[in-house]
Amino acid sequence: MSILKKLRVPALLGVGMVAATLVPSGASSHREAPLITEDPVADNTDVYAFRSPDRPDTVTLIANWIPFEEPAGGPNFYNFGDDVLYQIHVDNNADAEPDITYEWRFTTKIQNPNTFLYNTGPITSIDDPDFNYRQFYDVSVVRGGVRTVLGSQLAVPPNNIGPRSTPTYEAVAAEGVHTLGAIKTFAGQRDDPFYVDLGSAFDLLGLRPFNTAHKIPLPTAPGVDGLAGFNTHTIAIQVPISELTTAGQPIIGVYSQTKRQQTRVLAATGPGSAPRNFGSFVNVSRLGMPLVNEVVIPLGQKDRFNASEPRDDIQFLPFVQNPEPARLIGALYPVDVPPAPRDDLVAIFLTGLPGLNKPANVKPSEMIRLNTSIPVTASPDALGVLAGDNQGFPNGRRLVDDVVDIELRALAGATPFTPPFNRVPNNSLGDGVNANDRPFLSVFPYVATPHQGYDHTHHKVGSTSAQPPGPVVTAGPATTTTTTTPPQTRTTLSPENCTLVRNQQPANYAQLQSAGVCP
Amino acid sequence: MGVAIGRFALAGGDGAPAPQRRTGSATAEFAVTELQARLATSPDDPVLLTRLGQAYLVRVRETADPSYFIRAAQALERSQALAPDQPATLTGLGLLALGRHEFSAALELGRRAHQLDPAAPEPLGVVVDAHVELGHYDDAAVALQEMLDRRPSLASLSRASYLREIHGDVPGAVTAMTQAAIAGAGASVDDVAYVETLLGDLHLGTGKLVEAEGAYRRALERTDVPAAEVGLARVAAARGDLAAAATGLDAVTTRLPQPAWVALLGDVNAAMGRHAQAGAAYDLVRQIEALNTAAGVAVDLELARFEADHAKDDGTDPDAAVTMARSARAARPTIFADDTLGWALRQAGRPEEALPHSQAAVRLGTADALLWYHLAAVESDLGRLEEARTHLARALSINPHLTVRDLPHARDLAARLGLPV
Repeated sequence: MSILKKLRVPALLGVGMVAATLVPSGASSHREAPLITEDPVADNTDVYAFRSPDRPDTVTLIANWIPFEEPAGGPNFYNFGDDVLYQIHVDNNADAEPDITYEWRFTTKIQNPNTFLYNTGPITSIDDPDFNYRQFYDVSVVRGGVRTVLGSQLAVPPNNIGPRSTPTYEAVAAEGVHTLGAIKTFAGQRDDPFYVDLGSAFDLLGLRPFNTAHKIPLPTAPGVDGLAGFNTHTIAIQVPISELTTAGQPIIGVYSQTKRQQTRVLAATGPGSAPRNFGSFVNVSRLGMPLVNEVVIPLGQKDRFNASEPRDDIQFLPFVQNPEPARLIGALYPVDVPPAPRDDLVAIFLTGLPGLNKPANVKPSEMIRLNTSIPVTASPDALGVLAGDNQGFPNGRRLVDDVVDIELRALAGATPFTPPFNRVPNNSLGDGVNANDRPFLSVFPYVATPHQGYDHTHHKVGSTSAQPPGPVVTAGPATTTTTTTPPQTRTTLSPENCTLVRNQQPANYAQLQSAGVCP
Repeated sequence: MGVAIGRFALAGGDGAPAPQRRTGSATAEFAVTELQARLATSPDDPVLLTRLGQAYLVRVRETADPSYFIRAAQALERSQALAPDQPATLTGLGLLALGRHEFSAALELGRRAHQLDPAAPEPLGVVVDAHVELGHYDDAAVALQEMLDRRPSLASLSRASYLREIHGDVPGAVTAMTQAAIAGAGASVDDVAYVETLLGDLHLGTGKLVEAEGAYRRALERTDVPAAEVGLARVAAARGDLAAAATGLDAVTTRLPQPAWVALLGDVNAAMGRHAQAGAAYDLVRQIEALNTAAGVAVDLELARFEADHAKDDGTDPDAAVTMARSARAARPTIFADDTLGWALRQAGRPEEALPHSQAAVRLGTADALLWYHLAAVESDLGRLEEARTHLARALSINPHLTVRDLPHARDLAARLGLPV
């Protein structure tokens, strides 16, 4: 290779060459370690809590991690984090402290040290010697500060690769359900059960069935499930209700945390001694109710929320009382929303609803609140409590519950709390995606079989219309009235809402100006 | 089942496994494409601009293509103009400043971002990196502890490894870097491969060739990492296989002529007696650095070091190396700057002036063999033979292979000092 050829290359390299230099030992250039990296194995996406439909004396708790798992995930595929502490907490006396905590710790073991391949042949059982890149976990429960190991070195089933590597996937995955006395647990890849029109919802709160009513109108279209065809990693545990609740209190609060251990930068006793690597655990991620970090907590507070504990959630009260998405709904659609402070949202997100899942003397904190005494509905309604199905969200959260539509309607005031707003169009808002792209299982762990790497599709189109509005149900004296008023046309937005859009979405403000909606 | 079906599926035409990059939204490449598309319809969205700038900065490391710095600057500076003083924008600008070696500016930007968003770990990373490059090692440790306390992650743990390494705690550095790789598992393949390469460098610097080779090969199994290819070439050179080292370095520097790697190729050629090729490589190093200077990049410590190393070659000016090293140290008073200045002074025949700097370079007890070798050479020049012997022995016990360039000189020195080699 001629040196002269190399001389022609530097034309590209002028600026910043030194900056990218990695110098061998000695005069070290500055170390360009990665800084803004994703941390998917600690990225908690959803938590679910519900009475098990086939074993109603038990509760199933589910938490998912690793968003957007591409089914064709080779060659590394997806695994839990070996250095991560995965927790699901239960608060059974409403004091915003965890009373029972289930914990999972994973270890990766490569069966054949001569290869790093995930598998070296078809995997036809969970112990198949061809299943090379394995993970095992210990699951424990902590009560009153005492940890008891429930199961040790339990196997994680493989990723769903394809007809050659995982020809009998469901059977192998079923071997990942472990029974530990009265408790069942599962950890492994599953279809992502969440369904939402991600592409539209985060495009200035677009709801495709309502596209023509948006301030920046587009043609009406069916919702598109942005999570269709993607997988996730699920941790699930099924526990007898009697093990979770205290006498006379059927309501439990459920939330999940993800942690890593602390490390000291430099050993206390100087170099050369064994570095002290292990201390207490640091909160990396936290999740209870769905969409809290997207809907209630502003972007700039996300790290603070993830690091926080439920006992301090009063610090987020202002955001719940006056959430930005509620204001945006009112700004962008011909929809009147209730004015702040939104005590109704405080109930939904922080305390539970009176007469449904609000414990006596509850300390406000962000958790899924499940009333374990409410019986399982034979035919669940995806709109949950809003449709009269009191076993549904926000009483706990079932896989089938359409939390996006429910929360949209709640944000718009379409609940019994705020009767003047509990009408069309508020109570018909929805993203047009009303069901998961895969049917759920009728047995534990209920979350559907993951999409296969070899054969899968993404972004399946949802139903062609929004969910019909549920009947108006009031929790107090029985007055069931259904009123419909024509959607109001609005020619201008309030100054406050105009300012909001101008600050948050300056690019779109210009369009509102040209539509004569804002100054 | 004994059939290695997976291996065949991955094999390229020549039977060698074909490296596959993970696709999907985890890579910065995907993010850049997405963000550019969205910016086409909303060109003045500061949030999108900042994210694009950050994605470009990640691309710099993934591709080693410095034109991404320019694109990052454009995006971030426009975002700053549209929506001033957003923590994420300031962090991005801080990273950009680090990349341009503007360390005081980077420190200021990192601090401002941290003030505005104390809960976020990223501004602290900028602060840590800036402190390290300004020689503020204690301040760096404090900021890094805060970053680790908030978020143990690949980003914070790899920095902990570096600080431990600087303080002479190599086992601790290896532990932390290994933890960084675990913490990053499932994140960007390039980040994990990069960290594994750094692990290889740690092993190589302490003479552990088998472990170094293992780490570099693991990194290369995941994705292309030029620095890992360079690492393998250095392993070959340490084993005495100069031909393999030259081939490897030639291949990498054809794609990516980083000055330090080109200089190393020159050293390998010189050691093989190929002096014409060596000279051409050294000329190329100077040309690249001249281009950088012309483009306004702070060409500082690395070039000073190169010139000091070559100060005794024909036609070079040792005092020019001293001047360069002094100005580099003024901007970046790190232990490595002290080492470079001390070495430049020694090479210019001024060991009395060199001594305080060479001593300052080892003040943290860093397990870097070259620091101790340079100190020993200065002490030997000054007739301080007992100290020279101690420090040379320490250098060779840290890494008996030293570098291709320095090993013969170190061996001569050892012989003169009566040290067994």
